Amino acid sequence: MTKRRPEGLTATLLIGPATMVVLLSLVLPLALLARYSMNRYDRRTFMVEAFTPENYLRFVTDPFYTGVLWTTFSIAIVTTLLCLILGFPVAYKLARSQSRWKSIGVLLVILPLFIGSTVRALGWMGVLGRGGIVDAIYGALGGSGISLLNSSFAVALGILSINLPYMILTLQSVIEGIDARVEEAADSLGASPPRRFWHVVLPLALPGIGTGGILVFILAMNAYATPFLLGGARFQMMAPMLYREFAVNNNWPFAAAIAFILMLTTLTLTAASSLLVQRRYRAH
Amino acid sequence: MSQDAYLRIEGLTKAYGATTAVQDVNIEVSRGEMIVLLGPSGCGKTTTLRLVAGFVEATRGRILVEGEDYAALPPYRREMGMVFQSYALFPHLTVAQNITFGLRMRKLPKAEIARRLDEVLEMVKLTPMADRYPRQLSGGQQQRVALSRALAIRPKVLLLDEPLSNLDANLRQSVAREIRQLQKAAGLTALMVTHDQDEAMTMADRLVLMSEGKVQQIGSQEELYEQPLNPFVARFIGHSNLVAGELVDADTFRLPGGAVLKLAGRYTQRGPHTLALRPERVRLHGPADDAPPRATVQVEDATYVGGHVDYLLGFAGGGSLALHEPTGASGSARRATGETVTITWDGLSERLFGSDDAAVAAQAA
Ligand SMILES: Nc1ncnc2c1ncn2[C@@H]1O[C@H](COP(=O)(O)OP(=O)(O)OP(=O)(O)O)[C@@H](O)[C@H]1O
Ligand SMILES: [Mg+2]
Repeated sequence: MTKRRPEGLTATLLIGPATMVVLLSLVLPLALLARYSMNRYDRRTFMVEAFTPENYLRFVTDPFYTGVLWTTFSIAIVTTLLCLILGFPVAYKLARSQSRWKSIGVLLVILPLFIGSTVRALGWMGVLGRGGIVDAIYGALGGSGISLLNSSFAVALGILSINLPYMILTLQSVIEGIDARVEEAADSLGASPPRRFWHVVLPLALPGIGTGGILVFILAMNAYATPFLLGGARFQMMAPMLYREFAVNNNWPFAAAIAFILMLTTLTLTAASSLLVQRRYRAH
Repeated sequence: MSQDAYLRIEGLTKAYGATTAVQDVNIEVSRGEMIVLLGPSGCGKTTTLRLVAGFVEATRGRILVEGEDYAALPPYRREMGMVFQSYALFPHLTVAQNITFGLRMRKLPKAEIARRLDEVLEMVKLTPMADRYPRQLSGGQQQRVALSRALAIRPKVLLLDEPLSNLDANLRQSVAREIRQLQKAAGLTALMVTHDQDEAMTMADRLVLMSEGKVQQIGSQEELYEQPLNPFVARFIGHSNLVAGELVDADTFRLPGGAVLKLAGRYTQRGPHTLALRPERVRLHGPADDAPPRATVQVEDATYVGGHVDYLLGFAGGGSLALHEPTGASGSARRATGETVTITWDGLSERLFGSDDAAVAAQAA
């Protein structure tokens, strides 16, 4: 009899390289960042070795910074919900379509992903800004000189347009996994379309809603180019603020603290929501 | 056309682009009757069922239940209980929740729902499984949940699409009997689809045999077996031998190769015909046989399969015939390959079809 290779060893061999990459590219920089966030900032020498919580304290005690965190969170939540509400019908139609135009539809959803978020934000500036399309229409109707730029509306719209394809694609693949016969069964048992949606489609799509929601939420929390270009100087979100502390103010310790706060907030909310989904879905 | 049909399908047609899945199907079903749609793969059985359920829209034709036209009714208002081939149970709901789904959609009182649940669970012997999820059940148990979910709503018509095809052979028979009993006990009108002949024979009050979207014959088991309307029916039900040839006089059927069969019928219609002959109705002609020999053939193959010997017989000049001889019946030994034998059959066991596939009538001599 040949000796069987212990399963544990095979697994280690297979997982090993990936683990190393993750360790080197993720954990090490994070550890470094965590260390930086404990350092002290000095106007002339920039970063001073220390072990102090003052960067974190500064963030949580200053209403300006907590306000920025709150704005970021609000924009992320609102855009995530909008992505869901707008994306679900499209995803459902695509998933259930048997037409030969289906692949064209999927392509149309994917196409925007080929264009970077910076370019897209510039596009929105052309639509929403002074002298842009909206302004031109407004002018033709008798008004003059409006700009929708530099507003939370513009930022939300920009983020929504970037995140929507991710949501649609995630939901589509999950809905395709739901047996169409199960929906017909609901039909034959007397469930009208809204009740079928509520009692069958929604619960079965919940894992997809969770995944898509988390994906889009994380993207929104970390959005950089869109709030930077469409939000203007007064509208602050976490990622642009972090960059400014880091590159303009050269305050690495504080930037590191902001990075950690952003990351922890996102992680906590993500974990909480996926727990919630799992609890509703544990039966499955 | 009888006026008291409970379910009436009239001129039902469904075209998918260039292919016509269902073509001009007419079926009348009485209350409490079990109709089985039978036919080869792709003949339009499932499509017919889905048209009745309302999942697909008919290109032409009508579906009437108790005289009411169902064309405009969406599936959720039709009250047809459907049992899917794949069961299509709600994976996120327990057995009990699956079964009560239709009742909850109807907003029945809680007490009534509980009462019917117990009743149905009792009926299909799933009471101990009530709180399990579908994935925790065996295939047979899932099948029974699917059935009881459809029964619980007390449907106007029970629709079953190959309900047994995912079960193993042993289970199939007992579940078939179970379904039949439940359907009879509840007095349910049912439309079932299968491509398994035995299943169709044991479960149906009447059979509808379909081919290429069209109904070939509707009738009882005996009618389809004894009086097939065309060669397709003769072939599909019971694997009749189909022999092409020409009727040269009232009793003589000549094959293209020159071999001749003697028929006892007085056929008046001359011309090219197809002769249908059941393998189990033909027998080897012995010296003590009263019936006259009908043809001379050569044994090409003889296979012992337990209950009978399966002979493949060849005509001189081409053409062949299957013959099943019950073992131990005639006492004769198994014939060797190459041996020349004579065959016969009783009375009018054969059936003759004209070039238009219609049966040719015979006057007994
Ligand atoms: N949605 C559809 N689009 C196009 N053609 C279809 C569609 N559904 C069925 N057909 C065609 O209609 C014909 C009948 O199909 P149907 O499913 O009714 O056959 P069936 O008798 O149930 O066969 P089986 O025994 O294999 O289940 C087939 O030729 C099939 O290809
Ligand atoms: Mg089918």
